[in-house]
Amino acid sequence: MAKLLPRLEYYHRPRTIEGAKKLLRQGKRTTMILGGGVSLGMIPRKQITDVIATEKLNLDYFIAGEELIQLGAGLSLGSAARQLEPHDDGAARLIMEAISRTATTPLRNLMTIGGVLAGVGPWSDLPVALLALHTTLVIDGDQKIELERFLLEGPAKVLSRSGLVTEVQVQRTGEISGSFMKFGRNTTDLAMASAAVSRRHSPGYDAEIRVAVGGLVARPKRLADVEEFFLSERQGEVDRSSLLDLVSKTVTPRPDPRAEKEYRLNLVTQLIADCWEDLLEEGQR
Amino acid sequence: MNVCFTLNNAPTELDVGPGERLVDVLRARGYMGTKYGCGTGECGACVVLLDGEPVNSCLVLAPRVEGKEVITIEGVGSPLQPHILQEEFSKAGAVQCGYCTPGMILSSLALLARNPNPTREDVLRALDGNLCRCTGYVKVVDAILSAAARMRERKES
Repeated sequence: MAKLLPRLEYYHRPRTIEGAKKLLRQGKRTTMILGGGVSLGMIPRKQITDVIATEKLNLDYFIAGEELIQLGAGLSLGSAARQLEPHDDGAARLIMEAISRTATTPLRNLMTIGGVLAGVGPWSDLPVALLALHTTLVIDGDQKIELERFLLEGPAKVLSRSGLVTEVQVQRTGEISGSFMKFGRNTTDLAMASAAVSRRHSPGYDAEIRVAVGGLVARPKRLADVEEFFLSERQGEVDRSSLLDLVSKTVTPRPDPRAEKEYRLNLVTQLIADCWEDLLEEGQR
Repeated sequence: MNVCFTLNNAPTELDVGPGERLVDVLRARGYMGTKYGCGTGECGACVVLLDGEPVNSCLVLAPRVEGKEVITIEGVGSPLQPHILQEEFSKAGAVQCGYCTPGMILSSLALLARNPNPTREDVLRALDGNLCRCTGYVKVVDAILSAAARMRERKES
């Protein structure tokens, strides 16, 4: 049996974020932060000699306040879903939906919120839903960055000048409705395409719409033009042909051996439109 | 490095390497019911309960279980005193080669602890990380639903 980390010499268990940062600063290129460790199964890191495990940092908390949902970076996806379940609001439901479509039950019990964001890839599900909400990341316990900026700059760049994601904050003020959809070859497949759409009504403000997609480019992406499109056509049935034109102008899919680019563009367009119609139906109910 | 944890309800202290996986550590110490399958978290043959939740032990580095509770299939029942789930798997013919069965039973156990009255859909979702390549899933789901009913009856009586 091949070892996951055959050269691993040190398994560090710092008890403070400062301690983890110190280890990171001292570390060599062969040091890595370990969240849930699920990515180790896909990409064995043969050169890794040191891991900095996050389980003693007390980051596995869940706080649902009136304005914010705070998810500690060490919280597993499974635990997050179980704790979100009793909260019947649009933001909680959207996050739960994305989590329930991620990987399998045993993997969700290992994958952490922080690990999913630090290791975000084209197929990541949760970041798509978070991007369709107002989400801020806390880095190293005291610095904040909008998720959108984090994804645009890339985790490697953002985290190289600081350290580790410690918390995710999702706004839940106003009346939020949201929908997440994903397409893969089976229920546990990595996303060939995914979409999340949210709509927020706050007293005294116009409705705000956010659209995010995954599965197509390096990291989940927000589609501002599509948001405008929905704002202008919000009551009617979606003109899917115009929407496809718009999405095709905004997104250039990366290659995926499972399907052609054109097919995936069409797919994501249908998912966006379905999400939107879901929201309209929910509004009518 | 030393790791202290609870294994099948018994306090346990083991000396493990930093890069050793939980599945390897368990099997090397005789807990052979935890099967090694794909090694990449795909098949669920190595599922154990970590603090009551099913996880793929092929992706857990052994030092991670420090201070936690691990349950393997050996901690669920024995040939002389099988758990209701094990009895129902046997009765329903939900076992063929048996390689996936420990993982299936542990995933079911976690489900029934949280949801004593699951629907067929709930069971299928709970087993989404456990692959079977012999019997398929119909008899497995039947067995879990029967076990759930028996466990509810027992609790009520």
